[in-house]
Amino acid sequence: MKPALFEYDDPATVDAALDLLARYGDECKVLAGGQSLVPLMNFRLARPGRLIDINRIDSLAGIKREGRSLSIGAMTRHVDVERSEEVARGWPLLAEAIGWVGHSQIRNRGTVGGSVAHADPAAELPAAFAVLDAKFHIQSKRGARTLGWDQFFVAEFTTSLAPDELLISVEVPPIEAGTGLAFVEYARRHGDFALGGAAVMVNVARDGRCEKASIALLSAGPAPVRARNAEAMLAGRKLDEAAIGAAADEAVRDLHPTSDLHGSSEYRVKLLRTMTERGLRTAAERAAGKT
Amino acid sequence: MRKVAIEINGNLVEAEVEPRLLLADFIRDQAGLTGTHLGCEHGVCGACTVQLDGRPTRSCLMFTVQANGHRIATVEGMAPSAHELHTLQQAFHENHALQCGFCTPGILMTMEAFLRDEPNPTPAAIRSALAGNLCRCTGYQNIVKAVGVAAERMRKEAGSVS
Amino acid sequence: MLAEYDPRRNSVTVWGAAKIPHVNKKILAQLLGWNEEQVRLIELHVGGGFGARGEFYPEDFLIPFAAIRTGKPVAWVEDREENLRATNHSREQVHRCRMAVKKNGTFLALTDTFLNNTGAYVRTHGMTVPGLSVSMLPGPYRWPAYRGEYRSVVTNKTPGGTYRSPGRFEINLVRERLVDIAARRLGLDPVEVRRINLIGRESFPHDVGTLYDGHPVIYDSGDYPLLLDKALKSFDWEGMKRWREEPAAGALKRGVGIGYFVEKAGPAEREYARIELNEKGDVFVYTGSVSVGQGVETVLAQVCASHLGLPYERITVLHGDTETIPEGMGAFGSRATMLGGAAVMGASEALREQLLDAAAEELEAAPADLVLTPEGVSVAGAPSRMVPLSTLLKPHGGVLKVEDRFVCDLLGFPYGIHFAAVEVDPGSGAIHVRRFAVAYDVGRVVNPMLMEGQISGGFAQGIGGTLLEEFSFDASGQPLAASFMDYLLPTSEEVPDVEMLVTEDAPSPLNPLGVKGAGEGGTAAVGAAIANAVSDALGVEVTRLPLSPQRVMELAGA
Repeated sequence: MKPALFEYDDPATVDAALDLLARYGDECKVLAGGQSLVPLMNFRLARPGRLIDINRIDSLAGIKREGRSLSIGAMTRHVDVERSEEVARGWPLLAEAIGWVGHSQIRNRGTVGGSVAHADPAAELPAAFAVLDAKFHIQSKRGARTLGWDQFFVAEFTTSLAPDELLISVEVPPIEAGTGLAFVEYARRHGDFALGGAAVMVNVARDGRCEKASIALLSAGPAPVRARNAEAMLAGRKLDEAAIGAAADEAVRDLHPTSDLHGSSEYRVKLLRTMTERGLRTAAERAAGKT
Repeated sequence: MRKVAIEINGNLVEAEVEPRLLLADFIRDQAGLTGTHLGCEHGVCGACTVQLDGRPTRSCLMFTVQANGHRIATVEGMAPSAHELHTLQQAFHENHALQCGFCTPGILMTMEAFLRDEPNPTPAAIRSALAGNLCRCTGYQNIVKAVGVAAERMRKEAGSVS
Repeated sequence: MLAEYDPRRNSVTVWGAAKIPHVNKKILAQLLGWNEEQVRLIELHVGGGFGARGEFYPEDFLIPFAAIRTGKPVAWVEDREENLRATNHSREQVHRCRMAVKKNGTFLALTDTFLNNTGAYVRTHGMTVPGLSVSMLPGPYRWPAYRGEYRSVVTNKTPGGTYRSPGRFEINLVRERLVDIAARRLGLDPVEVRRINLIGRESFPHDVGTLYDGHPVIYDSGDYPLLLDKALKSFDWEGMKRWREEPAAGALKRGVGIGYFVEKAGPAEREYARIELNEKGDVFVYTGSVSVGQGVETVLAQVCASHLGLPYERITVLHGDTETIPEGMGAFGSRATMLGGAAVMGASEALREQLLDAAAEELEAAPADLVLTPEGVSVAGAPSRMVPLSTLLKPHGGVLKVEDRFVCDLLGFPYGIHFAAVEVDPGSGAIHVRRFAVAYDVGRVVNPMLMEGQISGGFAQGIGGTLLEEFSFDASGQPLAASFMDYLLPTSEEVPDVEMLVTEDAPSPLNPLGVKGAGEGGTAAVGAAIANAVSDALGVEVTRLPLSPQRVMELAGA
C-alpha cells in the first residue's frame, strides 16, 4: 500500500522544529531515519496528518565527548555510531549493540534518536542505554529537561516525550576501566528484532568478586528491564556458574513478556534466562581478562 | 506539492511531487528507471535498495522530498557503457548469481558499496553483508561467490592503476 | 498485470502472464464465453514461480473483464501483504502412519491416513497436492504392502495449491522419520536399514502400484543403491558421524540425519517447439515453455545448438506470447528441460535433416558427409563445395520453419538423498545447520551450472519450510503472517552453502535427451533430513515442521 496524505515540513533548525511541534502537537509526527515509521505509514497503520522531517537539522547529528561522558545527537545515524572510534574505545557495549541493529541499509539511515523515541521493546539501543544508565536531553518551547532512561521509556512504543517535545541528544556516562561487558540476543534471522536479549556490564575486584553488575533485558516487557534483584544478588559474589545461574533465574522470575506467533511468553522467559546467563558469563570472562 | 531536484546516476531530475511519494516510486515512475524493484514496501526485502550519497538505502522507506538535493545511484548507472558491464555485474553473469533477477539490482547496489568499504572481504563477511537482501531463487551461494570473484578482479584492477 | 481491450478486433490482451500462459488463455476465453483467438496472453520478465505464481487466480479473470467492460486499460498491482494473504498456501498436512518391519529391518507394510488442508475452497490445483503425497509416499523402498488414504478438508484459511516439491516435501518427512524411528527402535543403523530396502536396479521400470492423476506411478529408471554409495563416500558420511560424536561448544547438541527421496518430473504430457532459420544463419526457437528465472532460454539454446549443429551464439529462444506461440504447457513440475527440451531436439533434428537432404542433392554428396555452418552447407573437408543458406531457403521464402510436438504421458522420476549435520541450542531453540549435502540423479544434465543453481535455490526454500516459514492464523481465522516481518524468508545467514553431487547414472528412457527435470530436488527432503538430524541431536522424535525455536525448546525440554 502507499502512505496516506500528509502535510510536510522540513525545518532547518531546532528552533524551527520546536515551533512546529508547539503548534501542531499531537497532529504531527517527527520523521528521523524513517526505518520504523515509514513501514507503518506504508501499511497505513500510522496516518499522521503532518510530518516534521528533522533530517535537515545538522546540529542534531554528531558524536562528541562532554567531559567524561559521551553525547550522541538524536539524528546521529546508526552507521556513524558503528564506525565511531570514540565509541569503540570508550563505549564498546554500544558498538556491540549497534551491530545487532537490522542490516547495513537500515543502519545507514536509521538514527539513535529515532530508535529510542520509537521505543520498540525488542530494539537494541533502549536496552543498551538502560544498562549504561543513559540520560535523555529533551527540548520544547516550554524549556529543556533531562530524563533518566527509566523515566524516558514508559511502555511499548511509548516514551515520556510530550507531543511538543523533541529529543535532542543522549548522554552516556563513562564506562569504568576494567568493566567486562557483553551484548547478546537471539533472533530467528540475522537482523530481525530480538526474541530476547541481554546487555550486561560487570566490574570485578582483583579477588574475583563482583563489585557491580548491570543487567538490562530486551524483549522482556513493555520497556527495557533492569534486573535489579539479580544485580543485587551478584554484588560481593564470585561470578562462578552457580552465581550466574542463580542470577539468571532471578532476572526472569517476574517477567511476563507478551506471546506472539514467534514465541510464547513461557518460551521467551526461558530464552531470556539463557541470554542473561550467557551475557553474564561472557562479561565475567572479559572482566577477568582485564584485571 | 513540492519541487524536487534530485541527481540520479549523474543526471538532474526535476519534478513536482506529493510529499508522500516514496522515493522508489519516483525512481520507477517519474524517472522511468524500473531496475529498482518493489518487493515488500516495508523495508525487509531490500529489492528497492539504491545508493543515497553513496550509501545503500531502502528507497521504499524514504519520501522523494527527502532526497531533494541529494545524489542517487541506481543499477542503471552501474555499467560503464552500453557495451560493458561493471565488474560486479560481469561476475554475477558468469557465476549464475541471478535467476529471475528481481532481487539483483538491490544486491548490486549493496555489494558495490560494500566492496568500496571492504575491498578484500572474507566469504563470511560477504554473506553477512548480504543478509539485508532477500533472494528466493539462488540460495545465495553463487552470489557470495560472484562478489568474491568481483572483489579479486577489482583489487587487481586497482593494483594495476597507480 | 495489465489488460487492454481492443474494440476493433473484439479481443483482449493481458500482459504479465506467468507459468502457464496457454492454459490460462483457454480458461480466460472460456470464462468470457469467447473464442481462444480473441484472447492473447503475454509473459513478462518478472519474478520466479515455485508453483504459486501464475496459476489462474480470480484477478486473472476480473482484470481483463474490467478492461473489456470499461473499454479502458486496467492494471493490477498486488502489494506484499495482499500477496501473502491471497496467493496459494501449501504444505499443511497431518499424517497418521504406521510401518511394519522385521527385526532385521526389512520393510513389510506401510499405511498412512492423512488430512490435507485445502483452505477455504478448491483452486486450480484441485487435489494435485494430496494426490502426489498419497501416490509417492512409498519413495525409493520396496513395500510388500502399502495403503494410503487422504481427506482434503476445506477450512477458513487461504486456499492451497502446489509449492516446490508439492506433496513430496510433506511425505518425505513422514516416510524418512518413520524409517529413522524404526531403525532406532530396532537398534539398527539408519543408513543400512535404508540400503536393504532400496528398490534394486534390476527392478526398473518399477511400478509402485499407485496412481497419480489417473496414471500409474512407474519409476522410469534408477540405481538407488549406487547413488547411496557414491553419496556416502563423496560427503564422507563416516566423517560426519565422527563429528557428531565429538563434543560441541557450550550447550550445543550435535546430530546428523539423511532423507532419501524420489522426485517426479515432466507433468502435463506435452510441449511445443518451432525452430526458424533465416538466410543470415540466425536461429529462432519458439517454445511453449516459459521463464521463471531458471534459464530455460540457455538450456533450450544448448539443446538446439547440439542437435541442429549451428553455434549457440546464433540462437535466440522466444517464449511467452500466446499469439506467436500457438500452444504450450509452461514451466512447472520440473518439465521445461525435459519436455521443452525434447520438443526442441525433435524440431532441431528435423530441420537439420531437411537442410542436409536438400543440400545433399545439390552437392551430390551423402548427408553424413556434409557440414552445416551459418553460411551454408558444405562438404566436409572441401569448404569450397558449398550451397549457401539463401539457396537452400529460397523455396521456403527465405525462412525454414519446423515444428515439433513432444508427447509423453509418463512422468520421469529423478531421485536423491539429503544429508544434514546440525547443532541444536536447547537454551534458545536455535538450529545451526553446519553442513548440508545433496546427491541427485537427474538422468542427464544439460547445463550443470543451471542445475546446481536449482539445487541451491531449492535448498534455500527447504530451509525456509523447515525452520522459518509458517502461515499462522489466530483463533478467529485472521492471518498473522501477512508481512515479511512475520512470514520469514531465509537470508544469506540462514542458508549455508550446499554441497552437491549430481550423477547421470540412470538416464530416462522416456525422452530422447534422457533428461529428468531437476527443479525440485533441492527442496524435497530438507525437512526430512533436518528433522532426522534434530531428532538425533535431542534424542526426541521430531514429528512436526517448521521447527521454530519454541518448538525446539519444548522438544529439548521433553
